[in-house]
Order: sequence, then C-alpha cells, then structure tokens
Amino acid sequence: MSAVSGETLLSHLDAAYNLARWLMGNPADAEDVVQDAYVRALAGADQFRGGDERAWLLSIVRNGCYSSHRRQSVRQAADFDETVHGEDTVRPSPEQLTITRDTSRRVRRAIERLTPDFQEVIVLREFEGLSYKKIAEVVAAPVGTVMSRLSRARAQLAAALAEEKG
Amino acid sequence: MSMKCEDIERFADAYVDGELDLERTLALESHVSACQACTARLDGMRAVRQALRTVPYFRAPETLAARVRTTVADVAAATPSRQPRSVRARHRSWQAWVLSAASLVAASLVLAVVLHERTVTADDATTEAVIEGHVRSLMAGHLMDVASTDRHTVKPWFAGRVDFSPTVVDLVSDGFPLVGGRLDYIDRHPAAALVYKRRDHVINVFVWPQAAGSPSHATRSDVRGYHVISWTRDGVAVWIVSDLALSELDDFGRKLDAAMHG
Repeated sequence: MSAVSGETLLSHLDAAYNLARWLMGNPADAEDVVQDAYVRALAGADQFRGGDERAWLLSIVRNGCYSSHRRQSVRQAADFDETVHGEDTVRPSPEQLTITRDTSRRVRRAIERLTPDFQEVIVLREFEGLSYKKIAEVVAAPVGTVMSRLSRARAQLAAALAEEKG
Repeated sequence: MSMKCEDIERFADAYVDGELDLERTLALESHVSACQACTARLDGMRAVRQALRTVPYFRAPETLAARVRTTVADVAAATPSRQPRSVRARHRSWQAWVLSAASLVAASLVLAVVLHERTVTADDATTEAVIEGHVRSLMAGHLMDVASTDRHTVKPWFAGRVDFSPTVVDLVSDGFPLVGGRLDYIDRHPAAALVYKRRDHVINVFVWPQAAGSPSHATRSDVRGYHVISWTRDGVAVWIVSDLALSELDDFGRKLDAAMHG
C-alpha cells in the first residue's frame, strides 16, 4: 500500500514552492524544481516509509534545488546585488531594530545573502515552523548540526541587519 | 541545574524555538533574569525573529498549482487499480473464505486509515483557525472583551453570549495569570476565548463544546513559530495557542487540564 497520496502531497504545495523559491532565487526555476519534485515524489510514493509527508516532500524539493544548482551552476549573488545599490535612504533608530515598511525588504535581502545551507534551515524553521528533528530529516543532517547552523544563520542575519542600520 | 553565559549562548536558539526541555528552560530563565547581557542577547534574537515575520511567504502561483494538479491526476489515472476483481470458481473453495476474511481486515484497515486521515485534516484546519484567532487577537488589539483577573467576573460574562458555560480557572499561583476573556469564532462556531499571560507572552485558550459523536482527540503542533496544544475531555474541546516555549506551554496545558477537571 502506498503510504502517501497525491492529495496529501498537493496540500504541501505552498511549502514546497516557498522552499524552492528561496533556494533557487527566482520564480521560474522554483516552479520547474517543484514540478519535477512532484513527478519524483509520485513515482516514489510507494517507497515512502511513513513519517512526515511534508518533510519527505521538502527533502525531494531541496535535493532538486541542489542538483539544479549543480547543473546550471546558477549564479547566486549576481542577481541580488543589482537590487542592493541605490537604496538605503531610510535609517531606523539605532537602539532597536525598528519594524518599518522597509524591514521586510531588508530581511529578505539578508536571507538571500545567506549560503544555501543556512538559508534552508531559516526557511524551514521560521517560515514552515518545522521542528529541529524534521529539519534534520529534510536536510539530511544530524539535529546538532541543524541547531548550530540555525544559530549561526541567525547571528549572520542579526549582523547583516545591524550593519544596514548603520 | 545552573547555567553560565556560555551555556545561554549554546541553548538560546533552542530556547527561543521552544525545543529546550523544561529543566534547561527553567535554568536558562533563572540565569537570564539576573544577567543583563543575556537578556539583551535574547531580546536581540527576538527582534530578529520579529523581523523575519515581516517577510512575505511565497505561495505557489496558480499556474504552478494547475501544472502540479495535472501531474497528480495523470499519475492517478495511469496507476492501475491494485486489486482487479474477477469472480472465479475457485473462490468458492475454503481459500476464498480466508481471502475474504483477509480483505475484510484490509478494508477495515483502509477505513481506519481514511478516518484517521480525515481527523488529522480536520485538526489541521482547526489548528490554522486557532492560530488565526490568536494572531487576530494580538494584531487587531482585540485581545479581550472582558478584562479581569477574577474568574468570577470572566465566567458570568460568557452567559448569554455562548450557549455553554466555560470552566474558568485561575492559574496565577502557577505563574499563568488570567487576564480576561472574549468571544471568538473558530471553524464557524462560537468559542470562549480565555486569555492568560506568562511574562510578556499571551496564551489564548479556546473552549467550545465538542459536537456529539466526534472522536476525542489530542494534538500538539508547531506552526510558523506558534505552538498549539489541544485535547478533548468531558465533551469539551480545549485548544491553547501561544508563541511561548513549547515546554512551558505543555506545563500550562497540564495545569489547565488538571484545574478544569480536578
């Protein structure tokens, strides 16, 4: 009996796309990776050995992103740098990270600048709310590694945001 | 257990993520309450977290959803029915009895799985609704209709507003003061929302009578940084939600359950 249905997989489409969108850096590549991941997931549905369907699907999406990067050697930083120049006129108060209309854009840019191994733990934890254990499943690393990556990723984000504040 | 600043550095992320066990949570909190540097560290982490919440979620575009739905439908259509049914004479033999008994068991297993999945899906929807209710209460500044730490004021307030009488308990001695209540709607039915606090964290407790015949359930989930714990007892569904550390929310849940039914 196949343990995971197409219906169940479909219910995690947003999660799949969100992860791919961050890791690929643009909508077109993200869509291709997700579409491909569903084909793979459905083909391998019989091999699903129980557990968390979302984590399982996300691990397929994630591996797809990495192979796609390897294939195309997609440039990571180049695209983002274009948006960096000529902005930053707003300077939030230095005492605190003020939440302004601008914050969202700044944070987004800071996440985009993280390396993929840091990016994925941030996305899975902060946007998907996955537990450490499930993140470990998705990224195929021990829980301890997930913990330390998360901690370092957050430190980098904090530093990046503090720097922007000037 | 006591912690030093290095320990806080090591465990702060797990603490903020609600992944730290109760013993370490308490040790960490007792250190932080007396250490300015570590308080600042945690505040900094919460600020980053807050900032992360402002980032919009990338939802799958409709074009992609359509493509994927087609893929799923194609695969479903291409997969042959797993149990072709043909009536043959030998099915009348004793083997047939064994087979039909086996398929009966299999069928009931499938049914059990389907029922289970349905329950899970319904619970997922309620979990989302509960989180929405929680977020709404915080964002719209509509946390309470009746602000009172006195359960004898909060409980009667619900009379005439909901058609059941929620049990309102005071957990101030456990460190979870009641601050008020309001009327809310979860999954299209009215719910009594009781508001408790733990330090600066708000805990929303949604209570409504369980529909007759629905199975009792218990869930525990972690969605977008919110923790949701729920259970049913004596025909009452209780859903608690907060961004509090999971270990603390568990503790709250146990005390609430005990006080409500004790």
